[in-house]
Amino acid sequence: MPLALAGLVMAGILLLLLAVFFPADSRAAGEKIQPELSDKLDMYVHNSISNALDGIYPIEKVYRLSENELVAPEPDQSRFGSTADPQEMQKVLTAASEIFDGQEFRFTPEKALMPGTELRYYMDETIVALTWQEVIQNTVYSFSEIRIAHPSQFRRMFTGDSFNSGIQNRSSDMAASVNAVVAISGDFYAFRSHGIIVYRGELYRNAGQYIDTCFFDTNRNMHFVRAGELTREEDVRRYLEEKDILFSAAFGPVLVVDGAVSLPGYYPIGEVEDRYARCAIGQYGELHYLLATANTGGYYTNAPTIAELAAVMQAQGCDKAYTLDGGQTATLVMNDVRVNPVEYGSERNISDIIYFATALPNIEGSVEA
Amino acid sequence: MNDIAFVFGNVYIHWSGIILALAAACTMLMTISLRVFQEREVLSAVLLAPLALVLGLFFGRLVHWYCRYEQYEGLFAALVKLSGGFSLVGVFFGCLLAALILRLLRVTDNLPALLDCLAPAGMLGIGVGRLSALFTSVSRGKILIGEGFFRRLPFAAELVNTAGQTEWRFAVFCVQSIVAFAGFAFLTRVFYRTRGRAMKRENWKDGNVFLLFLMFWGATEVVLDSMRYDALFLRSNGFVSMVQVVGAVSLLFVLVMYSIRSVRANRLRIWHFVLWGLFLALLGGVGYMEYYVQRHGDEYLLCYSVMSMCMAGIVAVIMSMYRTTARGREMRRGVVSAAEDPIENDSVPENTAGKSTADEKTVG
Repeated sequence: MPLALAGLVMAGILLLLLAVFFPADSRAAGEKIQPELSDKLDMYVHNSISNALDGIYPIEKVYRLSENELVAPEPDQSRFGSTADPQEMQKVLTAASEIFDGQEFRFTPEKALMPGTELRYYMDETIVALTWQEVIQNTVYSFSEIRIAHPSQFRRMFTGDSFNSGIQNRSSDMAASVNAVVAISGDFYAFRSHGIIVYRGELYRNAGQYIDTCFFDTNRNMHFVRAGELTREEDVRRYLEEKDILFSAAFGPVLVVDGAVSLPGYYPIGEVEDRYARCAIGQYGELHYLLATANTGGYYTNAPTIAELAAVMQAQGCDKAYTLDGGQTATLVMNDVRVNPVEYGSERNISDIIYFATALPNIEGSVEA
Repeated sequence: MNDIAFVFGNVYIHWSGIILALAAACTMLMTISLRVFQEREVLSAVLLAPLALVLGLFFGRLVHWYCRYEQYEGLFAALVKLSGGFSLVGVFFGCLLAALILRLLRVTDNLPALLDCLAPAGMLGIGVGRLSALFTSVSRGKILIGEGFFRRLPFAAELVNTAGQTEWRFAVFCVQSIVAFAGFAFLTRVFYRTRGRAMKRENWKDGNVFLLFLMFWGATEVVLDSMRYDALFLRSNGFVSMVQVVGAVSLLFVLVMYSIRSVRANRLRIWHFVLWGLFLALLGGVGYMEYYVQRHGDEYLLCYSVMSMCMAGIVAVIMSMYRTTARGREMRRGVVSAAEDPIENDSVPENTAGKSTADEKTVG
C-alpha cells in the first residue's frame, strides 16, 4: 500500500511540472477550428446571393446544405402543422404543389387515414414533408412523402459521424441532434458485417456477396446492386466513381424496380418470409421520396411479409423501393417525435438514420437584402 | 473528443493516456507491495509488471480489433497503431498469461498466490483507469439525463456530441470507477484479513482473492456494461456484449471452483443443489432483464434494479459456497484449535508475521 501511494504522489507531482512547463493547446484533439471553411463559405455566399437577388432578378432562390456539415438548419416550428379535415388537407397540398412549381404529390385527401390520426406536415420553400398513417391489410403503415428542392437535403447520419464508432443511439435522438424535419431508421449497419457501406463518398465495407445494396448518388437517386453483383473492391470503387455515389444502405432486399415488384427468391437476412415489422424507402422521381414503416398496433395485429411490403410500396406509386432494417429498429420520426408504433413500445438504440432537412437558413443567419 | 494534456513538438500527449499510464503504474506498485507482504519476495512481481504490461496491451488491442475490426485497416495495422481502443478483457488475459509464463519459468511456484496479489492491484488500476473517460467520450450511458440535480458527476457527464450539441449522459465510467475502488477495498481486506483463513481439508488458501476478484468484476460489469452506449459486441451478435459474456462465464467459473472445493470438503449435500439452482435461476433473471431492457429501453430503472438484485443474489450464492470451504466458524468458536486440528497441518495457515492464525480473530 505505501508503495502504491508513493507512486501516485510522484505521478501527481510529475504531471504538475509537465503542465507548467508544457502547456497544451486548449483545443481538443480532432476538433475542427475552421471545419471545411471553403465549403461553408461557398454555401454562405450562394445562399446570400439568392437572398440578395430576391425581387431583383427573376432567378429562383436555391438554398443548399454543405455535404460535410452534419447539422442542418433548424426547421421553423411554425411551419409544422396537422389536420384531419380533408379540405384543409387539400389546401396543404395546393400550397405544397405551388412551392414545387405545380408538381403533384401522391398523397390525396381521399386516403383513409388510420382512425384517430391526422396528416402531419412541414412546408417551407425548400422542403415539403407529409406524414400520415393508414391501415392496410390489418397493418399500421406510417408513410412520409417528401419533396426537396436540393439533393443536399437528403442526408445520412452515422452515430459519432464516423463509420463503426461503436456508439448507438435512438432514431429520435439522432434526428433531433441534426435538426431533421423527418427521419427514418437506417440499415443498422453496425449490427452485421454484410453489405457495401459507403459514407460521405468513402468506401468503408465491401461485403456485397450476400445482400442487396442501395446506393445514393450526389443527386440522391437510388441505384441498386444485387447480392453478389459487385464483390471485387476495384469493381466496387469503379462503380462508386462512375455513379458518383455519396452513401449507401445495406439491408435489403430490393422491393420495387421501375415501378414493378422485384424480389429475390431467397434472402439471408430480415426474416423475409415471416411476419415482422418493416421499414422501407422509396423514390417516386427526382427529389421525391417515400419513407414507410409497417407495424402492429392496437387492434391491428398483422405484421407484413416482405412480399406484402413490396406490394404496398408499389401500390403507393414508388418507382424504386428498398428495405431497411425492420423489427424494433423500424422508426419513423417527424419533428423529433416518433410517428409509428414501434415494436415493444420503445425505440431501439441503433447506429444510423436517413433524414431530410430544410435548407432554409435560420433567421439569425440569413442576409438581409 | 480526446483532450490534450501536453505538447512536445509534434507529439500530443492526451490526458486519457496519462491516466491509463498512472493506472498501470498503480497496479504494478500495488502488486509489488502486496507480494512483499505475502511472500517477502519481490522478483516475481517485478518481472510480472513489464510482462503483464506488454501482453496486456497486445491482447487488449487484439480483442478490440476482433470486436471493432472495421475501425482498423487490418490486424497488423491494429497491432502497431498507437491510436485505437483496448479491451479490458484482453488486458486481463494478457496479465493472466504473464503470470502463467512466470509460473512455467519457475520464477514462482505458487501461481494462485501471485494472482492473489494481482487481483486487488488490478481492481485499483481499473478504478484509476476508468477515470480516463473524463477526457474522452467513451463509457457513457444510453440514458440521457434531463435537467435537474442529477446533471453532475458521478451521475452524469457532459458530452459534446457529433452534432456539436451538449448532452448529459449517465456517467457509466464514473460508477465503474467507484465500484472498482470499492472492489479494491473489499479485496484488500480479504487479502490481509482472510487469506490466512483456515480452509477445510485439501483446499487451497491461495487463489481465493483472485476468485473473489473474478466474482466482483463479473457481477458488477454484467450490469454496468449493459448501460454503455459503446459496448463491445462479439461479431455477428449485437445483443449481448463481450464483457457480459466474459462476466457471466467468470461467475460460473468461480461457482464451479468453490463448488468442487465445497463438495470435496463437505461431501455432496442437498444445499449444494439449492445453491446451484438459485444461481441458475438468478442468472436467468439477469439474462431476461437484459433482453427486456433492450426491448423496453424506457424502463431502464426497473430493469437495472432487478438485474442488480439478481446479481447481488448471485454474489450471495457464491459467497455462501465460499464460506462452506473455510474453517473460520469452527476456529472462531474455539471448537477446534489449530494445534488440535486432526486435519493435515498444511491446511492450517500461518501468517507471514509468524503468528499462528489461531491467535487471531478470523473473519466469518
